Amino acid sequence: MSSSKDTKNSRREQLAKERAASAAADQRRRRLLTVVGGVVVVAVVVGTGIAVQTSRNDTTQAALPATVTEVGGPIVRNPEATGVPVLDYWEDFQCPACKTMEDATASTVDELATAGTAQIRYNILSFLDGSLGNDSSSRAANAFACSADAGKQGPYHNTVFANQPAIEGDGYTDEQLLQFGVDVGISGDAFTAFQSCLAEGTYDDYVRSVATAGAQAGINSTPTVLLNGVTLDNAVSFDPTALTKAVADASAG
Amino acid sequence: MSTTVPDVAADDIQRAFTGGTWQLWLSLVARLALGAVLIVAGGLKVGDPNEAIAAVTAYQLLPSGVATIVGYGLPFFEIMIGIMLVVGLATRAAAFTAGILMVVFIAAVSSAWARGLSIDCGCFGGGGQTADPQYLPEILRDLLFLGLASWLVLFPASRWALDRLGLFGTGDHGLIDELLDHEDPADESDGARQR
Repeated sequence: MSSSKDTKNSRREQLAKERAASAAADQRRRRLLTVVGGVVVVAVVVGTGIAVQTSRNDTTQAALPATVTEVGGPIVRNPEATGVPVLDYWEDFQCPACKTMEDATASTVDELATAGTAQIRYNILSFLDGSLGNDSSSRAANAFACSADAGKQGPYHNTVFANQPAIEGDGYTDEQLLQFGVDVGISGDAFTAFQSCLAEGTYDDYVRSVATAGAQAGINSTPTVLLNGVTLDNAVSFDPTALTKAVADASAG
Repeated sequence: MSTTVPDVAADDIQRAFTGGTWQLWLSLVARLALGAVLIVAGGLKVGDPNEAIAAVTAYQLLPSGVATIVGYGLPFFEIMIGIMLVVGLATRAAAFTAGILMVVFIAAVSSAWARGLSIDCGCFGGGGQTADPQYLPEILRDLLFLGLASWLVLFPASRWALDRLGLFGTGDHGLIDELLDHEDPADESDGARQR
């Protein structure tokens, strides 16, 4: 065997080795690019999704009904009562358990509100629209917000629950929601405003902002009643005597 | 030439699993099942972002701002991974991600269980408080999905996959291929021609 052939062989081996090394480097680069590209695509899609949902849920420009001080905040039944215990009600106008609670305690809450013993706040949710396949909770919540502009939020709230359909899911008609306004004594110019407020869904965005606030606060069942920010047991919130006592103890403390 | 010499047993396994027709069909079934589950799970959550936020919040694991972002983004993430699995695009990476997702879900549900919360997992929409939590069935179900994902990570090659077009180079290779640093058949034929 000639030495030139040996050299040729080793050169060929050397060449093959280099080619293999550069091919491997190419493959690594390609794989890295693929991974980075994939991550970027996923990030863009998910980021776009988040942006879409954020704008769908964007209520920062929501019109606020009377007594509401911030987007997502509650409608206050008796804003004049300050420096007293605060009762936060989280309810859905289509929720049967809420009606049960209201039937038992509405008159007691009326007294607390009138006497100014507690500040009553209504945070009206509308999640049952989703499970019942209608939009009655949202429309009723908007109508309730409209009634606040007429200063009738307390009686309007009670009237809606008093007239909750016996069958969950039957919902409220627009005519009913308007009639409730008449029933609680909204009249004259205030009624004209109330009427157009219902027709235009003036507070639809506000209603959604309360839904978001409820979700973020972890309110995921209705009714939820909080006294000074602490959730009350149903045994208390459904019982007039226990509720009155809890409020009295809270103001004492 | 190959840098490592595969031992015979591993080689047999590799041939049996990545070459067998039944494996390709089985991986197809796993892909479609897991992909469909993710698309449905995400789709049911996209419609009601507030419900999704509430479902995440109910776990009491994330601060409100983060829970909101997860509530908004997770459904899209699930749908995306699901679509990738159904069409067979970057199957292994998608399956790996789905597996991680399942591990996170199992951990979250377990922690809710351990902390004595009483919530619905919100896996397919819904979520929040429930009088009758179904933690064990939820975990078992997620374990099944984790099994499907693991199978696909091991054997991503399947019938009717976009990966077959060679976009991501994972179409015809199983994990065992890469573990053994198997030589690309194309290189071999190239070398043979040179000789």
